[in-house]
Amino acid sequence: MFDRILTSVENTVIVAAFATMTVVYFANVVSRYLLHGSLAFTTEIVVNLAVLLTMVGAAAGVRLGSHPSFDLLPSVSKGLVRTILISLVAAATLSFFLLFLWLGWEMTSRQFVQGRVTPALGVPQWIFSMALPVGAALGAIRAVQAGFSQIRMAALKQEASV
Amino acid sequence: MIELILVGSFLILVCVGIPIAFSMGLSAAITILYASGTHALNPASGVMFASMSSETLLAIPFFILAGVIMELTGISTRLVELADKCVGHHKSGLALTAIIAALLFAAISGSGPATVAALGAVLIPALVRHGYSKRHAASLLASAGGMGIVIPPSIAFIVFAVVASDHQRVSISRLFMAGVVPGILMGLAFYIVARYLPRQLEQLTTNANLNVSKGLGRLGLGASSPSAASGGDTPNSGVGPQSETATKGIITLDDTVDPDAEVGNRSRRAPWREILRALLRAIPGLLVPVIILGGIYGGIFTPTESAAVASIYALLVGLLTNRELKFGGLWKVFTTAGVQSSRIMIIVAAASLYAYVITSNQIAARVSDALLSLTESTLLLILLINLILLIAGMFLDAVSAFYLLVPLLVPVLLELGMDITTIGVMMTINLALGLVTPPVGVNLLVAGSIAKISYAEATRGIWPFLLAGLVVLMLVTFIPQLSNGLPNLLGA
Amino acid sequence: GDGGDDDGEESYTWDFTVTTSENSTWYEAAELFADRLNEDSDGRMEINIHANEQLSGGDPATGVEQLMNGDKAFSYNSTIIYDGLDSRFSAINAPFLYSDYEEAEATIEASAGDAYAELSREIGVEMLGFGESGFRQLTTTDTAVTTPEDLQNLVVRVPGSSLFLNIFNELGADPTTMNFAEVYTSLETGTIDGQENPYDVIYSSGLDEVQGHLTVWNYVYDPLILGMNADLYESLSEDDQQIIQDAAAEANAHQIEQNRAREEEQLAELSEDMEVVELSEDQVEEFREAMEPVYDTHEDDWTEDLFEAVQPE
Ligand code: NA
Ligand code: NA
Repeated sequence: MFDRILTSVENTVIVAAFATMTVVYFANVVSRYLLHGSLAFTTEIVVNLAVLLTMVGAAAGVRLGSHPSFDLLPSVSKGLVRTILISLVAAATLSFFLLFLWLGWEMTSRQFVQGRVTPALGVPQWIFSMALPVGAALGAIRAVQAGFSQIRMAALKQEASV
Repeated sequence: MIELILVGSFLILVCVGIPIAFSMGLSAAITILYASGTHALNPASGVMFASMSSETLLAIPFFILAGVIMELTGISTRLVELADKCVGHHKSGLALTAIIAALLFAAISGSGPATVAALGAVLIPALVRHGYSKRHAASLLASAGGMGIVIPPSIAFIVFAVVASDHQRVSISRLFMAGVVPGILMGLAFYIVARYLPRQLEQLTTNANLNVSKGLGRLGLGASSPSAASGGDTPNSGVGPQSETATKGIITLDDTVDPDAEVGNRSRRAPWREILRALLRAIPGLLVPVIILGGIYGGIFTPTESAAVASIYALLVGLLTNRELKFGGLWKVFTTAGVQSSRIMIIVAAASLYAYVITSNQIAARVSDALLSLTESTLLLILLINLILLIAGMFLDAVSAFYLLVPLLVPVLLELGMDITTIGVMMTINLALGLVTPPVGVNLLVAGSIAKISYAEATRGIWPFLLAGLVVLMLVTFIPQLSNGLPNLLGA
Repeated sequence: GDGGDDDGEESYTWDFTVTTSENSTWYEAAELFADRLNEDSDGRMEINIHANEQLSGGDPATGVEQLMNGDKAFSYNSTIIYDGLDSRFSAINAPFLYSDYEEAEATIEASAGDAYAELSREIGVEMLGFGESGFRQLTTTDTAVTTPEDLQNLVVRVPGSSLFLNIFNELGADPTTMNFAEVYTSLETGTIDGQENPYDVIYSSGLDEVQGHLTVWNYVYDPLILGMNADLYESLSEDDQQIIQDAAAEANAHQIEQNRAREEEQLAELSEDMEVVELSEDQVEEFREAMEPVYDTHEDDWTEDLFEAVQPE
């Protein structure tokens, strides 16, 4: 249940961010020729949404197991060795996201205190920077989930083949 | 010592099977901790945020989005059909069809494996029917797919321009133009190889609708689950670079593989009426490079804008020509493209942190001094650098390799008197060949699974194509006009 | 990082970033600063210089944040970049504030320098004086710009600062904050119609190859803060602080001198490829009036004290 809610949150953020980016950036091109609207506002929205898209998409990538890797060792190994390798991959992925959860949170709170605002929109920068800790938190959860489910699947496969 | 920790920890993490993005981020963090302590980690989040929010790199998600939509709307099949109608009757016409279709598709897509998956399903079985061995059919498609990152648009060139700008400014538009002639040369070289390959009839056991994902799973090299696109929730075992195409194969809607698109069954030229019909059907696809390159060189868009415009165009074409591309389809398009582009952009983010460590510890200067002191001979040094790049290409994708190697190698190459445009094209061809070299040859893996042969068997067929590619690489390396001619002519 | 020394005196290795390339006066001054520090400290102070904001992936605003947070020791950054982090910093960039370099220099000497030192300390930066990027000029592709009407609907690239966006909006142009790395190509292909920068940037980026017109209007004075992380500065002995102050003064003086000396040559060379228009008093007056609303928008941001401090005598 928790997993399904998380998945639909991920997908909704990805679709909303990406679709908005595409439409707004396209409108940017149109506006330059037809409307002479402000390009700076739209660019600022799009580049900051790109960070949100990347972080949440990276978390979804962990769920789907689709981050490029050189997985010769895990794929040829069996039994305990395989379990250890899967755990190592999950632990490293988790450490990556925990590290950037912490660093992203530090950056966000510094910006909150310092009061930096974006040049065109005048929006506080920390709001956009939240994408870093939020996405990293999602990624951390996904790393743990993926680790456990892969160990379970490896064990099932082992049983089936015995 | 710092160099050793940075490179060593990265290699260890990668070999354990940890995704490249996370390996890069972690080895950068480990090196920072070792060299300067916890407080020195603080800039990491800012460096990563800046790289993810770069307007130039925004072209990456947009080009990926355009590619996913166009795949979905069956544009690739129509390009094969057009090429077949035009040249299919020639001796070795089918190989030529494959090359031309790949060139056309490369002008739409920025990615190598996508090209293989899109064209291979139709062309590999056809080639095998025409007497090519499976390993050669797979290798032809895999190498042709490598042109995808040399022919514009190309994510590789975008990343190169961004990373190289620290050393010398080079515009993406110029690199795009510079890739055209070398890309066509690669196509020509692969065609010549295909022409002289031995042919005999072999039993065909595959069909055009093969499930790519299943094939990969069987190889034990991992693929994402069928829920990839629909946002399902079963994480799959194995994590591999080929998953991009696996995911792609799955989102293809039912009517995209055209039953009429069977190719290579003619001995005479197709009637003009048929050619015209195929041309009309292919026009929506053929217009994409016109929009992208015409838009950039006509002064209408920046490269990033051209990617967004191509996405919107592809969406409109999709909505008009594919009735199933309704709301549900759109949802799939954005989730799939979103995950695919995040996969690259998180590498970009982690790799810029890696590059930050290289810069802040003055590693680049030490490496270039060491390289330059190896030998007086410019020729040997350039060959050595090509070797380094080829080895990197055996293991890494172009984005990671550029972030790792551009800061180290570009200053040396500039020092040796090469121009930045030739350097960009040379490095990109190296990494394009990396797409078909074992142990990590993503294109070869995809093509092999379509041909239903083992990865090992597929690699046995690649050598003639790899040799042909190396010839082109040497030509491009030592004849700067091949890269610079067209952009200079167009004033790009 | 820093570490102990045989004599019991601390020795240091510090990073220094500049926004521009290795060929710039900024970089040259940073090198002079590094040499002087090294000499005067008997090798205890070592500086690594990084061009092109290499430590922040080319992003200058992130670069200033790093300086504030103590992630690096020194930088040369324009007040326009600081403005992206704290909107008070653009007070000295107010349009048509100074009529020439002498006036700017006198004001900095009299009041603005101290005001900016205090302001910088509030955000964790010890200001070691001003360098100078110079007066900013306008280049355009096809249109010679001599009146605000000429700018109608032209797409002009400006730095990422609300002040500059507002100025060009008031003039009727379409300002955009494109990454500088894309500016040359975009000018060439016609995606943007113009940009504004000091001579040095225009010249060293070869913009005369893709721009037909140069409007000399000296509309914004652009000083460079030689900044040091304040906590780091405080942590040093008084003698070491003095060494740094002396080196900074020398580097700044050298940078300003070089920048002004080069400007004349650069303008001469630029005028070979471009139509150069130097605006008359009356023409400038017209632009000044058109930009008047910008003062109303930004005066509150600048604060009364600071705005007072940057006014010429
Ligand atoms: Na391409
Ligand atoms: Na490879």
